[in-house]
Amino acid sequence: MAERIFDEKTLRKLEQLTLIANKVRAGAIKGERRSSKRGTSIEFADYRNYVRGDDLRRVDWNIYARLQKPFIKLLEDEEDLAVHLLLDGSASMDWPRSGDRTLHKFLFAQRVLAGLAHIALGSGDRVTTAIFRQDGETRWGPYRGRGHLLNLLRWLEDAYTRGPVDLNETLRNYALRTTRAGLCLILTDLMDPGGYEDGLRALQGRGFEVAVIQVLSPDEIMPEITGDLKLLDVETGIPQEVTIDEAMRDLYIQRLQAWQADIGAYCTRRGIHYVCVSTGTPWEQVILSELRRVSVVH
Amino acid sequence: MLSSLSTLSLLSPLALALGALAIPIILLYMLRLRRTEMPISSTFLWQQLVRDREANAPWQRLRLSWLLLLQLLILALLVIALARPFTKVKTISTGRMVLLLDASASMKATDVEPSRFDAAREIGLDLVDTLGSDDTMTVIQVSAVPEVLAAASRDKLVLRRAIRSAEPSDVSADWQAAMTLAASGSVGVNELKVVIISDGGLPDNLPPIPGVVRFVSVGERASNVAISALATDAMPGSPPQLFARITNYGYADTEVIFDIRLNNSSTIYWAYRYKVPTESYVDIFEIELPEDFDTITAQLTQPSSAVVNDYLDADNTAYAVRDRSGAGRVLLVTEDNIFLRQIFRSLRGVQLFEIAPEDGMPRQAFDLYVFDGWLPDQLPDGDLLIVNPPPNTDNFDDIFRTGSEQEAAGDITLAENDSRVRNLISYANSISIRKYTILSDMPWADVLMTVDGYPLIAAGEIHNRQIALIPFDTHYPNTDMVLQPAWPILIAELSSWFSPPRITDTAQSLPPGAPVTIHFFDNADKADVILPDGKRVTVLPDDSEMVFADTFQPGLYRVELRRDDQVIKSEQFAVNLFDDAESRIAPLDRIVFGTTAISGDSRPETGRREWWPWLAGIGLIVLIAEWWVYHRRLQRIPRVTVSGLRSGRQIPESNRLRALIRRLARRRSQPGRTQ
Repeated sequence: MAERIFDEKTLRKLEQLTLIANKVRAGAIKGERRSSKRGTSIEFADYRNYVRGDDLRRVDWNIYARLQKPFIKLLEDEEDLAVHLLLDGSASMDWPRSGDRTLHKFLFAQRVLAGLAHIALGSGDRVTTAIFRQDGETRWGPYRGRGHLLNLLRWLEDAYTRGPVDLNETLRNYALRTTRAGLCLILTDLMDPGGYEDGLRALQGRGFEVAVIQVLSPDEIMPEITGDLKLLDVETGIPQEVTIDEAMRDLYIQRLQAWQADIGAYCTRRGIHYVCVSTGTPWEQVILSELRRVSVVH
Repeated sequence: MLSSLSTLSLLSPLALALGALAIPIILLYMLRLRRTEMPISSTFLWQQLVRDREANAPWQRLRLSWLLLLQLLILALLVIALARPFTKVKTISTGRMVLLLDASASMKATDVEPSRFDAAREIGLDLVDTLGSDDTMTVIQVSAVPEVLAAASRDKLVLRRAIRSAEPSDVSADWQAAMTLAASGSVGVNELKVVIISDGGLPDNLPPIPGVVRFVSVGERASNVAISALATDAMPGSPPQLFARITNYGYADTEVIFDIRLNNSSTIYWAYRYKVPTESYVDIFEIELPEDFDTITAQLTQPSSAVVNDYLDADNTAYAVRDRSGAGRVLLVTEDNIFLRQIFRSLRGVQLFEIAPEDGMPRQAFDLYVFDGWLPDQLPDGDLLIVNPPPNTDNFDDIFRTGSEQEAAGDITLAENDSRVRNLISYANSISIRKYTILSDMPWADVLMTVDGYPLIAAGEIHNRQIALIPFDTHYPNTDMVLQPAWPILIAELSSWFSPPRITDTAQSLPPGAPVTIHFFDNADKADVILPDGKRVTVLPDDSEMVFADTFQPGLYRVELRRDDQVIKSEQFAVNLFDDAESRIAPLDRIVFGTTAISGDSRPETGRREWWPWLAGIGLIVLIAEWWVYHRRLQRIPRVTVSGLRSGRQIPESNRLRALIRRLARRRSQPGRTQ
């Protein structure tokens, strides 16, 4: 990828953001995120009676002096968040293939992914990214700390799309092979005839908090093609003959909206964050506005 | 119709092979459309929209389609039309023929609805329909000037257009010229067939023409009443009178109302009801007319109680123009010259006033002053005829002088080249004159007759008036000329010379189409002819004359002579049908060429009536219907069907209707459900 993924100004905007997760998971390293697990950090949480076997170092001796009774001081444990940023690398993401490059779905998704990674790394989260292609899955991470951002950007610049990807199968495999669950953000166009439901369900089953960012180009949302056409699917190569006129175009738009409504309804039902973005909107707007709206970014 | 179809044959049966074109049409319906390939990110959504299980196959199942049925119907009609189906019909003639369509006035008769000419035209068109592929037809419209409307054409469209363009006129037909024109078409043709569609009225002396002549008679009735003559004249000394003749050409007595209008007025001047016996006429001459009129329009109308129809209108109106030629008002000043008095009284167009010299000159003006043996002290304005002037007169020395009286000794000599005395040449030797007065000092005058070298008659123009001098006593026995024909001839010629010039020579009515010579004088540079319909035609002089021949409309024509766009003189003339052959509308069932009589209404030949124009017409209508169906379909239904809409799917209008019908059918089939 020759395109620069984001500039300094955008970086500064992203500095102030943090990723949030509704269900906080215990991490291996204390991070900047609160955990429901009481631990050994310095922030007070509660007291409990001393029982045999407790670590004497955790007895609050000041309370013992006043009350003559041993109490164990419970401190809130701060842990790091495991952030999984998954990018659909199927050929349908390599679109549009001509015209304005800012509308390119894969490039757009790369930029959003990099932005989210920058936020996560800056927050001390444990970031893992993966790109799903026909030739397999490519992973980066897990890494913590801002120092890895440049490394991530280089890795992204080498990323490419290839062939059809079975979204369900890929997500299911990812869920099985990942030991530590966390916040999982999936950037995809969801244009898989096999569907996406099983994959998302598998992720949730493994304890992931899932957010789906559907990326569509403007010509997919509002097609401007007309005539007697033989449409060739760039991902599958399957042709589709169709005569497109005004009425047919209206039907397509209605069908797209119904499909998006289906996805939205499914995600709401399953507690999955869902946002559909057009590559016609500025990519940073997706993070600063759209993901904030669905409470993925704080 | 069924009997016609039973004899249906094809001129080009091989054209039926074109019916095989139905196969590619059907195949085209089974073949999928070749589409433009276009890459797209995913066909995922489009696949859900398009039910396209058959889309990827090159062929699809043939479905019943109105468009297909209509296109096959169009093909069938066109193929059958190209095969040129025909039925055999009896017809008047085939082969190479000349159609003579009578367009004379009698063809306007309405005894056949809407008119005889329309009926003739239909017969002509029917004849065109039955023409064979190798037959040719020449169409000649026979009127005053026969006109070829289509020359030896096989093109039925051209022939139909030619026949439809023919129009009847108000003129007599020139059959001699038409036959000559028709015969000219026989050159190099083995068997020319001449078809005459007419109501008769052909002259008896038509020459035989090469080839076969067929005659188709049109018309059914003979009833017609016509004004067959109309004229107005004034006898010298009498008021003007009308002469008219009403002729009944029908086979029953009839009554008509004859009315006249003067000067194109809408007010009837005189009207009377006449009973006209069958095949006879009534002359009208008792009507006295006023002095001050120029034109007469006479008209025949039928009383409301008339039981016999008048089928031809063209001869019910006639026109006459008052002849105003002649010397006009003439004053004769004489003691008693019976020879001058009688001769002027007998001249047409002369209104004679006579006084004696002692009465003195009247105050009113005259067109011509005739002084006999006496001269006033001062010559009046106007033309002068001075007869036997007093000798030794020099009162008018700027005009002439008279000397002494002389005895005539030698022979009389005439100026032979002068038109005023040219007609007297044969009488010159028989004229004798005893005495005459010597005339002199008349350089302006032409000497027309001399004796002994002195003038006996001199005439010329001076001071814008015409003056003629006869310097001898016109009484017998001074001269015997007054007892001879030479005298009225001389006075008539001089009177004519005194008369104002006329633009046309048409004192009487002209037949339609007759040429009129227009004379240009007084430096006139052009003339306008105003036709009866108000149309104005400008003609320019060709050596002081111009022949005008556009006189095909009956009515009153006005000729205005112009100089520098100013009217300097105008005249009228009348054109009337007055043709016994045209007014006698009784249809003839045979005509005679030389010694051969040809009967009408024979259809001895077999022709072909082709049906392809009808088939082509129906094909065109079906084509329009096919176009309409196609566009209606385009507007209402997208050419793909939708399927796979899982939620919130949109069902097209037609599918909704079908779904509703299926639902209703299911409900009805459920047991126990009441209507």
